[in-house]
Amino acid sequence: MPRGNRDKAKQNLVGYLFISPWLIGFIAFTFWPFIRSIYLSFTRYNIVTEPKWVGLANYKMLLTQDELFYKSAWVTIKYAIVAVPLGIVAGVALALLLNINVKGMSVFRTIFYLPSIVPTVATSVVFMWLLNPNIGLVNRILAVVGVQGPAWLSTSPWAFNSLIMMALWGVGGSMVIYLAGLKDIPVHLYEAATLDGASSVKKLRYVTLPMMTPVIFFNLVMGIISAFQYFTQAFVMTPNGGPEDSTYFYSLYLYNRAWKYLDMGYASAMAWILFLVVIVLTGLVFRTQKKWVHYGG
Amino acid sequence: MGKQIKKWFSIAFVAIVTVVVFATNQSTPRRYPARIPVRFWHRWQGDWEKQVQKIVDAFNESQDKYEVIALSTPASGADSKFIMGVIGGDPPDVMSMWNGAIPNMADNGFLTPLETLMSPEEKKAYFNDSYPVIRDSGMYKGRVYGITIGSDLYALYVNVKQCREAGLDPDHFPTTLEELERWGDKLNQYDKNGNLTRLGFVLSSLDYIAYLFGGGFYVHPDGTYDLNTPQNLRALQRIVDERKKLGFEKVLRFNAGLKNSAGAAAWPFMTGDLSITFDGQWRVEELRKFRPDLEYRVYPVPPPAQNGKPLAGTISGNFMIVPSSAKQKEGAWEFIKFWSGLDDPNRAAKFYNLGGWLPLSPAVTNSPNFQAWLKENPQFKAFLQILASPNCKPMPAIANLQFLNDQISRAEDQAVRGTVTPKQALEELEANYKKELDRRRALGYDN
Amino acid sequence: MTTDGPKLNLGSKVATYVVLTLLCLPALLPLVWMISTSLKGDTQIYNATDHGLSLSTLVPSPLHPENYPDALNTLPFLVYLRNTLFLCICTVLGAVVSSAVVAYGFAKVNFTGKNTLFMLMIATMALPGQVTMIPVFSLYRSLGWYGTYLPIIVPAFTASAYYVFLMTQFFRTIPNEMSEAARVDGAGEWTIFTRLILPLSKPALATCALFQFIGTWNDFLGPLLYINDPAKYPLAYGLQQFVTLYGGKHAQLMAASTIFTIPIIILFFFAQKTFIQGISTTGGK
Repeated sequence: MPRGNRDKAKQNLVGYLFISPWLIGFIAFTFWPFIRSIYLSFTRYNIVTEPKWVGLANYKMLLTQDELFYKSAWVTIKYAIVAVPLGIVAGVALALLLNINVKGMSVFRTIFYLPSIVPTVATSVVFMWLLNPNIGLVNRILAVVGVQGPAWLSTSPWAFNSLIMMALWGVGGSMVIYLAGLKDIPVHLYEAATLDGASSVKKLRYVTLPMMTPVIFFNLVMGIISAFQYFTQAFVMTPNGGPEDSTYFYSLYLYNRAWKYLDMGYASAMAWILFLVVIVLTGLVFRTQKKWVHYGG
Repeated sequence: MGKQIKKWFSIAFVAIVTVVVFATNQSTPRRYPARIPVRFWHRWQGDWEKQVQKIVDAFNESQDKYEVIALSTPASGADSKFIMGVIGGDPPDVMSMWNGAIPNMADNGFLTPLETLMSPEEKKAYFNDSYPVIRDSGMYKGRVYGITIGSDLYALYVNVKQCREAGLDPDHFPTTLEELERWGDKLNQYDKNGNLTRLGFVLSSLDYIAYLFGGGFYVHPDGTYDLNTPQNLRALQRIVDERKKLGFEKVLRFNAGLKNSAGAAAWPFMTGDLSITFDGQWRVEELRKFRPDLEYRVYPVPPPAQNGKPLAGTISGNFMIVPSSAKQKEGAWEFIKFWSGLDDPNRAAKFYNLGGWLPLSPAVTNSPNFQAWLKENPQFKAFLQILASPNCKPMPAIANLQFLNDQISRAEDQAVRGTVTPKQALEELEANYKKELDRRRALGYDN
Repeated sequence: MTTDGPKLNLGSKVATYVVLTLLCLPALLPLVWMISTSLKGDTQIYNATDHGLSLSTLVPSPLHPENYPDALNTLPFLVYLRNTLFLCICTVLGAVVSSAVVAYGFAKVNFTGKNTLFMLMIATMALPGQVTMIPVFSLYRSLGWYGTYLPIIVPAFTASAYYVFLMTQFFRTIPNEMSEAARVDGAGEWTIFTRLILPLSKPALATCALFQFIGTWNDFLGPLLYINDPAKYPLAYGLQQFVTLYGGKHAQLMAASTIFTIPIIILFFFAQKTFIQGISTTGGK
C-alpha cells in the first residue's frame, strides 16, 4: 500500500505518542545518567566531591593489572554458560509437562511456580539451611542413599553449583512464560498435524517447539542479561566472593568497588565494560533470530 | 475453584487492601515532639537493638533539649546506607559505624572531625584519658573521626567440663601456643566416618593472630608497609599446619556445618561443639544471658614459645561518627558524650555492660558500676588485660583499609584450603596491595 | 475453546501424575522446610547431634506457634503491609498501563526509527543498574524525591523495558489483518489498541501485572536506597531486618518469611487461570 508523506508524518506522530511514556523515562532516568556515567568512568570520583579527570587510568588498571576483574568476569561467564541453557531446557520441559490436560493441574502449576515468588532473602536463608553440610536436609537425604554430601557453600566447585541449583529451583518463573506461550499455539496446527498422521514426538518437533521459539528467544535474551547482572543471591549467601573467589560475580566485585571502596570512577569503568560485553552478546543473539525464531500469523 | 468463591475472594481482597491502605495510622508519633530531633543510625538488631534502645531512652530522659531517634539499618549494608544518606542530603546526625570503614569515609570528606565539637576540657580529657589503642582506632591523619561506644577484642573461651573430661585442668591453662595445640588434639572428637563432631581448638584469624607472632599488618606514615613479613608468614604457616594435621576438608566441613547456626543462643561453644574457641568479648554477656549454667573460662591466646608476644591483637568495633553534613551536630555530640562516658564514666559503664562492650577509658573501667559488673562476670577481665597491653594495636589508618582487610582474609582463606602455600598467599597479598596503592597514587590519593 | 494439551489415556495419566509428584518434592521441600522451621523451637533447630533423616526432622515438636506472634510483635507488620500494598498498587497500575501503550507503538505502528529505538530499549535492559545508580540518585535528590516513594513509583509509569518486550512479543502474535481491517473501517490507532488489542491480551497484561506485583512486593534495594523513615518501610525491608548480625532468630525469620510469602501464593493461586490462559489471544485465527 503506497503512502503519502502526510500519512507517514501522521504515522510517526502516532508512533512517538505511543512510545512517549518510555521515551520520557528513558531520557530522564536512563540516557542522561548513562552519558554521565561514561564521563565518570574516566574520572576519579567519590560522589561528594567533583569528579577529577584521570583519562584512561581506570580502564588501563582494569585490563592490564586487575586479576580479580578477570576472575570475576570468568565466574559470571561460566554462570551464564551453565545456568541459562539449563534454565531454558528445564523451563520448557516443565511447561510441556504442565500443559498436559489432567485434573488438578492448576495445583501442580502453582506448586512449581511457588519457588520463584518466594522473596530472595527468604530463599537464600532457607537454602543456607538446606545446604548445611551437617544438619542440612540435602546432606541428610544424600546420607540415606549412602553418599556423603559436600560442604556445599564452603568448597569451591560446590558453592558455584549451589547457586546454579538455587536458580533451577526458581525455574517456575520462566516456566509460566513458556506455559503462556504453549497456550497460544493454535489448535488447528495440531489438528492438521494429526490429520497428517504425525506422532507426538513429531508434533513436538515440528509444531510445538517452532511455535515456542519467540518465547524461548525472549527468555534467552533475558537470561543472558540477568546472568551478567547476577548479584543478590551471591551477595546474600557468599558475600565475600565465596571459597577461592569461586562465587565472586562481576556485579559483586563492581558493587564492592563502588560502595565499599568508594571508587565510583573505577566502578563506572567496570560497569561500562560489562555493558559493552552484554550488548555485544545480545546483539549476536538478535542476529541469529531470523534463523530460528518463528513468529506466528 | 468455583466462580462464586473467586468473586468473593476478589471482593474480600479489595476490601482488605482498602482497609489496610487507608485505615492504618501513618507513623508512630514522637515521644518528645517539642525537642530538637537527633537522628541516630546503628547496626544492631534483635535483642541488641533493644539494648541500644535502652541507652537511647536513658539519654532522652537525662535532658530535655534533644530527642534521639534511633534507626537500625541492616549491618551488611550500613556503610552504603550511610553514604546514600550523605549524598541524598538526608544523613543521620550521628551513626555507629565499624571502625574499618571510617578512614575511607574521612578521606573522602564525609565525616566531621570530632575534636571540632569538643570543648577544650573535653578534648584534653579525651586525649589524656582514653585507652590509646581505642582512641587511635578512631583517628585518621591526626584527627578524631570516630569515638568508641563499644570496642571488640578476641580471646579463648574454654569449656571447663569438656577439658576436665579430657583430663585437662582448665585452671592451669597453657602458656604457649604449642601446648594449647596439644590440648586441642585431646579435645577433638570424631564420628565413625572420621568426621569431626567436636573441635578441640584450631587456630584462625590471621589478621589478629599475626600480632601474637610478633607480626601484624602495618602501613607507616611514610607510605611503606609491612605485610609480607617473616613473622606474618610464621603465623599463617602455623594456621595452615594445624589445619593440615586435622585435614583441610574436615575442618572446612565442620566449620561450614556450624556457620549457619550463628544465632546468639546457638553459638557452637554454647552447644558444646567447640571446646576451646577464639571469639569476642560480647559473648560473656551472651553466656550470662543464655547459658548461665555453662562453666567456662576466658584466657588470652598464649603466644608461640619462640619470638611470641603475649596479650597481642587488634581492635575493632563500633565507633560514633558524625557526617560532615549533619544538621544537628551539637545534639549528636551530647549523645556521644553520654554513651561513651566522656562526661560521666560511671553512668556510661552500664551502657557498655548492656552489650558486653569494651569501654573508652580506664575511667569507665574503674567506675563502681563497671567494677560491680566485672565481679559478676570475672571472665571479662581477660579482655581488659589485652586492652591494656602495648601489644594490642590499632588497624592501619589508611583510606583503603577495607581493601587491605579483604586481601588479608582472602590470603588466609586460600592458604587454609591448601590451594596456595602460605608463602604464595602473602606474596600475592602484598603484590595486590602494591598494585592497588600504585593505582590510587596515580589517581592522586595519598594511600 | 481451550488449547489445554493433548488428551491422554489412563496409563499416560497415571505416569504423568507420578512424574509430577516426584518433581514436586524438590520444588516443595524448601518451602515445607521453611514452614516447619517456623514452628520449631531453638533446641530442635540447632540440634547438631541428630544427623539422620526421618519424618521427625520435618515435624516440629514441640510445636512453637508463638514464633508467629513473636515475629509480628517484633515488627510493625501492619504498617509495612500497608506501605507495600500502596507501592504495589501504584507500580502495577503504572507499569502495566504504560508498558502496554508503548508495546503497542512498537508492535503495531510503523514509524521512523522504530527498530533502532526498540533495540535501544532492549539495550537498556542490559544496562547494569550500577551504571546509572549514582547519576539517577543525584537526579532524584535534586528533584527533592529522596526519602519519598516517588523514586519507586514514578519510574514505573515510564514503562518497563521488560514488560514492553514481553507484550510486544505477545502483540506480534496477533495477526495484522484484523487491525488493518479496522483501519480500513476508519478506526484510529488508539481505538484499535483499546478495543481490539487489549481485550485479546489479557493474559499478557495479567502476567505483567503479577510480575510487577511480586517484584514490588519483594523489592528491597529501592526502599533501601531511598527510604529513611521507618514508618515508610515496606515488608521486604522489614523482613531483611530479621537477618541479624548478632543473635539471629531463625524460627522467627522463617515465620516472617512464611507470612510474607503466603499472600503471594494465595494471589497466584486465584489469578493463575487468567494468568496462564492463552486462548483468546489467537481466537481470530
